[in-house]
Amino acid sequence: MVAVNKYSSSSVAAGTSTTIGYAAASVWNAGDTVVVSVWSTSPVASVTDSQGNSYIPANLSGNNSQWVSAGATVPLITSQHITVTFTSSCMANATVTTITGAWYGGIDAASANSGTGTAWSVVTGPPTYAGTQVAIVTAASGAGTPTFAAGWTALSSAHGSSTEFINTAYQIITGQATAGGPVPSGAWSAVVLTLIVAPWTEGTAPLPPSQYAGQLATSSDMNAMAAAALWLRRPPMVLAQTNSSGTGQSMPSSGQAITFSSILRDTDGFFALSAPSHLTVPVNGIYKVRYSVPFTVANCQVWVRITTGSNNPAGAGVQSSWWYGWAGAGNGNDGCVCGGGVLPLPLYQGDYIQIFATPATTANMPVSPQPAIVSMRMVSV
Amino acid sequence: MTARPVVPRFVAQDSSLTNLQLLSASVAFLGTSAVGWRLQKNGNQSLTAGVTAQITFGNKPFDPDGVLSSGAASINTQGYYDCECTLPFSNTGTAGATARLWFQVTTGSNNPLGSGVSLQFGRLSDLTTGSNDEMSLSIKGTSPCLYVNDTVQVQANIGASNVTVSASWNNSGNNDLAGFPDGGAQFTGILISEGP
Repeated sequence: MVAVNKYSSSSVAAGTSTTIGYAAASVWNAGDTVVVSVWSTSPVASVTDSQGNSYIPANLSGNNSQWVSAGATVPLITSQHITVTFTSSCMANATVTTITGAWYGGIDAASANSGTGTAWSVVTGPPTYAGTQVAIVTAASGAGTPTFAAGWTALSSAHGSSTEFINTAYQIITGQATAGGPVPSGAWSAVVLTLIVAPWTEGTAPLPPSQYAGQLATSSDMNAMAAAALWLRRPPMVLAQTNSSGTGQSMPSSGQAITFSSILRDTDGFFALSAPSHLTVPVNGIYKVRYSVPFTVANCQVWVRITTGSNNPAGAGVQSSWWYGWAGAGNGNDGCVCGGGVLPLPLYQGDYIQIFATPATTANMPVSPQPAIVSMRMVSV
Repeated sequence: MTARPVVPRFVAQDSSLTNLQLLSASVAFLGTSAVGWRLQKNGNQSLTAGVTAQITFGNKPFDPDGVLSSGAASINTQGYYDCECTLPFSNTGTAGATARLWFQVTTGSNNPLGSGVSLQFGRLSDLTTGSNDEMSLSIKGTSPCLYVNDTVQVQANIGASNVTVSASWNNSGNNDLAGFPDGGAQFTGILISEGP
């Protein structure tokens, strides 16, 4: 079941601010995908929110950009905000859309267009999946609010004290997204992206159906095979990192799990803000882990710890450590441990891994030239 | 560039050969037709102590996507890549100097971050072990989503002086214990997921 909801919109005039805040609203369910569509005269540096959800850029063209939440989100509560930060003070408009039922790993086609006249249009390139997708389009114009052709459902518009008008809409589609509509005569621009609706239940592996000799393959069988192909091309995977600015995590010499602050990809909800050091297995399988963990003291040891959950035949709470790595750099130098590999135990839904680090002496983890980066990916069911 | 086939959707009584071929191509895309590269050095490369340098690769034993450009990988198929690199050094110079090695992404015009943004991943920073030692460093990491025209370089900064990255261990007389070739400088990448 897919549901798309207007969340909020806002705008700032030139020179007044480098951030836009959004008051909390009720239409944001736990786990929803959030799309932030921005028109601005300076590039967007980042999109963040009060809960700590991560947003990744998915579409950028000229003054327009679209940012999508990475993984399962935690809804904002009253007085919390989404903040769009720009590289310099600028004029900007933005809209926020929440989507229930889109696949976190399914950001697919993205496209942009611009022109002059009384009609705007934008078409995505070829999709990678011909099944159901949610298309989110935002059109902008300095002459007035763009509107949408039949089939598109308007969500949020923004103008405020800006001289630009933007309007956002959605459509449930199959294939390419083709958007357009009338606009007051003048220059216009538009961006559109599509999000795949997974044709399987999240947390399960869409395995190909078994066939017998002489069987007439049904469309259901063929679509099950197509789902397996889609899943293989975007296997369960998380890519997470620690702070890349400000102060890094304090790491005691006694050892501690590193805490992730930013998610770059999370196809199946590995990461949850409630347990920010955990990467939790969404689907039973064999997983590969990569890590690169920086330090600034004499040396540091890093390893992967597995903790089993209630679905594991070994029982819950069984811990084991794997793929140790070590590096020395000398105090004050930018040391970094690089390691990881295929975890030797099959993991079950609810098991989780943590990346532990033991620096020679207690110190803050550096945030540059590279934060700690960890990936975890299913390599076999 | 490797075309990304559409995963089809079938309807009842579907007799579309195109859909069946699209399904076949989709399975082949990541299952049987690897998108990636294996690059090798085609000459030794001297490094200046404490100066960051791109490690350049000139041979391409496996490069179906045609990524090799200016000694690095220029991405032709969008997605996430697992990258690995191993470099043999002919001389690590002074013991206790820091040896740093990492993958450096420079975004191109198709990346939503905009052109010219630099990102690092897979970083290793460790101490050299001693004068005249033979040493090899290996790094591995999962890239952020790479877009067509993004580039991935291997970069190094070695604190010790008189360090040379060997194109081949054999060229510097370093066969394995049995006298067989034991490889040389390698830089690999393999597409692991479409994205973003």
